[in-house]
Amino acid sequence: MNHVLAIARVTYREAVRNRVLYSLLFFVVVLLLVSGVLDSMTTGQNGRVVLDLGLAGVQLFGALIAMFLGVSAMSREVARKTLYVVLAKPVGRTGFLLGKFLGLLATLGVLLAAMGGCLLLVAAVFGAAPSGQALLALAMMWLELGLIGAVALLFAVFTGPFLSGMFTLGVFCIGHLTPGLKALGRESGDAFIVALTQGVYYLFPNLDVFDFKTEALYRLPVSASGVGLALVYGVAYTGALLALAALLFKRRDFR
Amino acid sequence: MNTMEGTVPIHMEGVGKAFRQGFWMHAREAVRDVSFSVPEGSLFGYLGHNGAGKTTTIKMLLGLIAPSRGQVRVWGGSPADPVVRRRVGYLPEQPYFYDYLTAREFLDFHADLCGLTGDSRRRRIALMFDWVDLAGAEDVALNRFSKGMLQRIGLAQALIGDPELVILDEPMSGLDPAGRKRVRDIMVELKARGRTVFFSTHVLADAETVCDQVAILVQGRVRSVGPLTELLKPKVTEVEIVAQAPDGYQAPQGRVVHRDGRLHLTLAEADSGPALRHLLDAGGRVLSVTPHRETLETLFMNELTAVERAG
Ligand SMILES: Nc1ncnc2c1ncn2[C@@H]1O[C@H](COP(=O)(O)OP(=O)(O)OP(=O)(O)O)[C@@H](O)[C@H]1O
Ligand SMILES: [Mg+2]
Repeated sequence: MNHVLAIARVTYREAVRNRVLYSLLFFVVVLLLVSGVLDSMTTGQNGRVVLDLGLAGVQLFGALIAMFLGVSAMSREVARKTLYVVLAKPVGRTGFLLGKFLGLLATLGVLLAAMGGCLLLVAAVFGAAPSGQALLALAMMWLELGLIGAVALLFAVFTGPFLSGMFTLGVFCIGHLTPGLKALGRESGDAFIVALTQGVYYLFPNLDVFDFKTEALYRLPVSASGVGLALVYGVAYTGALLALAALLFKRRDFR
Repeated sequence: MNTMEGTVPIHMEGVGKAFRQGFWMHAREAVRDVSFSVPEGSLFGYLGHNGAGKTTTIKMLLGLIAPSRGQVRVWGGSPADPVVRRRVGYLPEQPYFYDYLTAREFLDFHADLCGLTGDSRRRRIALMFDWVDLAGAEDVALNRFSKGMLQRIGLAQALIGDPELVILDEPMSGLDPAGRKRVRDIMVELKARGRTVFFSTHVLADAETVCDQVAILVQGRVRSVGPLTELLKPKVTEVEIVAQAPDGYQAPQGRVVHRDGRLHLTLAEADSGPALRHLLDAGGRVLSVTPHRETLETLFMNELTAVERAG
């Protein structure tokens, strides 16, 4: 377990020393400023525009960062051959992968805390006091980003960085569309289309499960079962992704 | 696994590795037939020209790639097993390391991977910096290291867990003479401490001075294995005679070269007696007789030409 944490620590260190990360963070700051301007131009919003745009922005940029970091955590290791000396140590491949994931999860957590903190601060300045719902929405986003990071790792285990990035982006988009797709399919009435949309729905992750933005925005009561479902679903799905990635990673030659 | 096997650091038997490449996934054999054993406590040289398959073999020894056929045993087990790798240290061919770390962070990390803790961990790290002459560079980031420094920090990460078997892929490449000597000294020191050292090289002189055993790899096949003295000794066959010969002297056999008014006669050792007598009878004066011991270089070239003639 010690070596898994060591790998996680190094992965975290690499991520926070990466400049691309900071350019992505810069966009979040710009977005917050723009939403502040919009908020002050709209009467009676009192920070709601900041919260609305901000949460969506944090989610989108968080997802992009999770994709970028998840893919590069694995493909840079392979391309730059830095993993040779690590895998030659008494470290199992599963342990290596798990360490990579935990490092990624920690990085995403810190980033989310930083972006979320800025967001809550700006929103408060414009009149929307921080709420438990907003914190919950951010925490649930962490689950989503972790899942996306696992998807990125999985693709990066067996294909190049460009394809991995594209595939992960695809999963992210489909993951937010599937509930709608499933409903549409049911409406079509066509048996084949119903089966197809249901297949897509169950195969791809349903990322809307993690979405508590509406609750945060209107301070709606949160259902415990919704949170519980998101937790169980996120952990189980991410675990399955990592298990599959480990299976593929074990069989891989590093030449 | 019997108890004997557990004490053999490396055992390879009929090992082959094919890489599938290109759109049609054509198989190319990087290693065709490799069989040899490395005895415990030896300093073993793995010799081969560029592209012979040295790195491919070494990667199989660390479980980085799986053999296509044959058996790879390290300390009697499979190198894919992390427990086996606990007893192995590895320096890759090119030192590719996390270059955003400082030297200390890097060694700290590798000490963690080897499961070192507490006081022994701290002492081991300090010892490594000392051993590879990097004391003072602890807080320099690896991306500012020179090639020689990278090679040395690479050696340090290979040795940090105090492994019983050390596998080094071309440990002297890219180093200046002082650096090569330092690496050679470290290898000899490891052997003196009872460790087994396995290293690859295409520079024969590097092996000749330190190895007690070598395997010679030619185009993916191990051609000869054994103690250097045994590989070389039976093939000491030629003698060079330098003499002042009378004008118009015709040697009965051997290759003749005239240089600086002297006769240089090279011939088989068995023929040297009669040739000397013939030369003296003709009124010549012998200046020197030098047996040509076969060097690793000639052995290596012979193996190579033998393969080329056959193929
Ligand atoms: N990943 C790979 N894919 C396909 N072929 C490879 C791969 N790696 C090596 N080879 C081929 O296998 C052969 C042996 O390569 P290897 O790197 O083991 O040689 P080497 O003895 O280490 O050479 P060098 O002295 O140059 O390091 C070469 O012909 C090489 O082209
Ligand atoms: Mg090589």
